[in-house]
Amino acid sequence: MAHAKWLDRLDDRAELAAATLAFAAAMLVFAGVVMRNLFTTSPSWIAELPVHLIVWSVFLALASSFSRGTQLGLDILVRRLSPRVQWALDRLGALAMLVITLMLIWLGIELVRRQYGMGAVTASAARTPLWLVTSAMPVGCAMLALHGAARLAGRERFKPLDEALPIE
Amino acid sequence: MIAATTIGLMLVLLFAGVPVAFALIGSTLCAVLIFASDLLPSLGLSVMSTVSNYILIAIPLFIMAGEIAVRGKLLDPLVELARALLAPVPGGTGVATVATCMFFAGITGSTAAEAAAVGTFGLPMLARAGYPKPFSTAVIACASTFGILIPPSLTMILFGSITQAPVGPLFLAGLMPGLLLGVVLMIMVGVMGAMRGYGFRQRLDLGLVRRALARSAWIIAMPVVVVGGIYSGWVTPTEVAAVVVVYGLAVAVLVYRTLSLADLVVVCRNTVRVSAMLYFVLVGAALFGFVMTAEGVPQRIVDWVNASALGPLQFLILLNAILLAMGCFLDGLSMLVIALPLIFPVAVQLGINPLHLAVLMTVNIEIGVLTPPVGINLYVLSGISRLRVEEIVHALLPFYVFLLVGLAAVTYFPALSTWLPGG
Repeated sequence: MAHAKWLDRLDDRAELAAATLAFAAAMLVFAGVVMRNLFTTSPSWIAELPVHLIVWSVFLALASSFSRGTQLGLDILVRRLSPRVQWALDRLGALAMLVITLMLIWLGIELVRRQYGMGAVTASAARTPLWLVTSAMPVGCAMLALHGAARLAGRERFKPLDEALPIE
Repeated sequence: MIAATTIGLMLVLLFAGVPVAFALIGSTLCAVLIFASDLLPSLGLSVMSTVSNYILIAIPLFIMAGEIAVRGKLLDPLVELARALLAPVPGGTGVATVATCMFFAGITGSTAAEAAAVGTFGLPMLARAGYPKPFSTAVIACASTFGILIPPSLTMILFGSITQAPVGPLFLAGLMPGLLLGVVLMIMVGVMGAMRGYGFRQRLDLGLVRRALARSAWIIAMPVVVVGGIYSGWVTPTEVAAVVVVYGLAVAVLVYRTLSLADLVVVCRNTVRVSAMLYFVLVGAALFGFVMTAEGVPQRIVDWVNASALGPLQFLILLNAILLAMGCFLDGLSMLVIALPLIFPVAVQLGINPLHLAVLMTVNIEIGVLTPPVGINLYVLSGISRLRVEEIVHALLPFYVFLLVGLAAVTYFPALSTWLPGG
């Protein structure tokens, strides 16, 4: 069953943003190598910024990774069960996913709130506010929670192993 | 109690078909919420510290390098070279396919990506050379598993992330066993090909070899950059990944002109899609490991091993048996993240070198991706070859024996893993 078009569009844009950030991170790491070896200089932000970009990239791509890629799992037992039991387990899985992502959102918001309140910054000279980086967690998990809700409503399902190409 | 609840809930969720990342995260969160809710804030911090690990940036970057190699058709000149060089060898095309897999393993760190990439062009090539499809598929299935042993290896990066072991020596630890297994497999494929009358032998055409060498020289340099960069200490594993991305991009765009801007967008999209999934599993592993360590589970296993008077070798043999059984039901990454936090402290206690353990676990994962009912490479190649999984498994039987002998060698001779990195 197709899931909501607006959710698909949201995933698409978030994935494009995540892809751009990942590419930028690769270029920055390379720039760091060039600067260190050719110009014998290594500003602290050039080691720190790629990490922040990858954190946002990972969380922004989490939802599209779920809906368009695959998630590693063990579906051999489920496949042997009757369609009714499969349906019930699928809904149970969706509920678990929704609850887990809601908990992660809550943990993320709590962490952002604490870091913002304490004025926590990174240890390097760049002194980036940590909440700016941590905000990626509730944002990415919120997008994932939308998929959990869509799946609970029967509009999505986990992709089985042989329908996608996971990475070992 | 927290540990028992976490493990029990994780198994229930896994068997209910919930993806492993959700099963690990969900079981940990629930158990902590019920029994030790004061630990919850630490879990949020643990999630962020896992995702912000600088070493792990190597994961998306090596995936990107592999994607560039596939989309940019960087393997084509390499195949031409391998075929030209190995034309006079009995079973030359099969041997060339194994050689190509080993080279590709030096660019990407994934077995499934390698099986898909090499399977797509290797199967028609082998069919044209007269190889039966089941044998060709089995050769590619087996050879593509070297992707996680020969550096760069995603499995080694994950091992390093979970155990805090440095990734550079881990990469080097896999190199010698990977090359050794590769060479033995080449001989095996050549002999089997010759005995069964597969393929046609041709005379060595030096002009063809020279032309293929000139065309593929740019690609041959890629694995050299990876191993040389890490071995010399000139760059870190994360940095070498970025160097390979930029190098691969430059070769594909400027030399071969095989990668467009639209391709690059697809490369980056595929990269983040796979990376996000891997990071999410790692977050699950970090939370699971955090609870297991806090509850002293590894120490209890250490006590049990001590009470059983198991020596290092007996422990490794027992571990092989457990991992081989797990490999039938779990994918390699799940196997690693579930087992490693529990067994690593035990192995350290028994004096087993982490480099030795890493290579042993990687070879077990190599076998795991080929064993039914859950062998990812079997499914990938079944999709490409249109053969049933059972047919591939049947053709793979001699290769299982080869891999098991390789596992025994890696288990019994730790120097195979520790000599090169000097561990």
